[in-house]
Amino acid sequence: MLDTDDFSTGFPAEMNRHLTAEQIQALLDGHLSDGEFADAQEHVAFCSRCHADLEAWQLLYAELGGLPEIAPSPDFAARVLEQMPAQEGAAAWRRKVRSWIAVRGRGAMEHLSPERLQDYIEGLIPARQVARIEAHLSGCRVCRSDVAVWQGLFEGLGTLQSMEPAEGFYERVMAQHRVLQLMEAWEPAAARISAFARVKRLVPRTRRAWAAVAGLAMPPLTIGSVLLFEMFSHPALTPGYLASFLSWKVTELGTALGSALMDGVVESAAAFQAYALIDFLSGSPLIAVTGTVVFAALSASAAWILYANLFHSRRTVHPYAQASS
Amino acid sequence: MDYAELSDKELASLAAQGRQAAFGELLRRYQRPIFSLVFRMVRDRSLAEDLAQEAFIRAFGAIRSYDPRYKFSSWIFKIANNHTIDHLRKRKLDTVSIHGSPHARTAREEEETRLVVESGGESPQEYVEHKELGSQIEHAIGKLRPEYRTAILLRHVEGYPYDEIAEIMELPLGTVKTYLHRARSELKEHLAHLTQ
Ligand SMILES: [Zn+2]
Ligand SMILES: [Zn+2]
Repeated sequence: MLDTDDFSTGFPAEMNRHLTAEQIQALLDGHLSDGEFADAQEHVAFCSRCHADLEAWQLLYAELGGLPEIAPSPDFAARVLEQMPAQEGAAAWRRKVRSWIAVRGRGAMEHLSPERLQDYIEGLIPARQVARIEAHLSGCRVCRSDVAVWQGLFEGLGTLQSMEPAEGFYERVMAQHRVLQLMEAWEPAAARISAFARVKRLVPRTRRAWAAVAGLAMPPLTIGSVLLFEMFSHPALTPGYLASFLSWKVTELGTALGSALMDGVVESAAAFQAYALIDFLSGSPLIAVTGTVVFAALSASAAWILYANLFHSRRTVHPYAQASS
Repeated sequence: MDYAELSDKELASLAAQGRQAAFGELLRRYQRPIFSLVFRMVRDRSLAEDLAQEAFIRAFGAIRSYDPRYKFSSWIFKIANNHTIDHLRKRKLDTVSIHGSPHARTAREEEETRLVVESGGESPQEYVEHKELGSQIEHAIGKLRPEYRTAILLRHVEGYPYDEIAEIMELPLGTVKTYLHRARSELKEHLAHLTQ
């Protein structure tokens, strides 16, 4: 197998793994499966380092096979011979190479790969390799016609124009951007956070605090609901009477104090409207009943919170109990 | 100050100080390329305008997070591309097959449901869009998977070098090369009948 990521998935995470000397030899020896061969070829097509390595190996193979070719540098030959498997005698290896060359010749690497052709058309091939490609093209009709097809595709891609958004796009984006900036200026995040934190600080954090709040809330709520219940169940005492009584008392107090200010407040239109509202509400049994029910519900929940936290809590294990205490 | 003379980076730093004219100039420079990319990605003009608008609003809102060591174009294309790909992924999850209802029991039923879906979506607006992206090569690009499409459009419409495409798509350079090679091979295959 290749020392690279899986090419077949179409999503190689990286293509930086180079072919090892063993892989290149296996490639030239024809010991790779078709899939492995294709993978290696693809890597070599895009990796100039491995491509150069492979070509050097090919030259060496050719030389070993007795085919006159341009000799690799003596330094390279020494490097390669160093890497050769020690147990494999040079003679055996030469035989193997010779047989491979006889069977496959250089046919395996003959035509230019699609990747190489694309890189060639895009001008991404190093100059010294361009000459080699052009030499191949001048002698190969198959690759020449392939180049023409690729060139057609590149020309087609080159005709693609960028497109204009509809009229008013600029204005719409700028308007939305300005609105968002204004909102940001009016509603600084810091202020929002501190207001939220202030409210949050009022919320009881421990069971004991909840119990205290519930305990404090229960007496007034109970008294309130009892009063309301009495008020609406007693035939003589209607909310209307109560309201007018209270109003009269307050007016009397204000008069008694003799304060001009108090007079102003109590006899103001607001006070009159508040009285009118209470009078109206008292005339509606539905609202009165709703008020009673709400008061009763609040009392009941206060009582339940008190009970649950003071008496019941010790038996139940609350997952957050430790964190909150 | 003549904003048109300033570089992208200078404009971005002025915008970060709240200068509206700097935002305006950046928008003027990039509205066309960004819209083009998004339009070819989603192949729907009004959706593309919405997505492009959202991308600009996002970028402008986050202008202070722009790092001037990188190219502004890469930064804004990255935001627009991510936003578009996100949208395409979401749409893929809740889309109904255009190849007919999955509940169709017979070929005929499938054919009927498919016809309903397709004729339902053929508004005059879309007719115009199809004409706009109607060339063979546009069709072939539309068949590519989104990642390949982005790479092809950035390379061949915007003319960006490989390393900048890698930066925009947040991929290694080798992967971008592979994407482009494979995308072009697919395009070549899609267009093969024309050249024969
Ligand atoms: Zn390599
Ligand atoms: Zn050839």
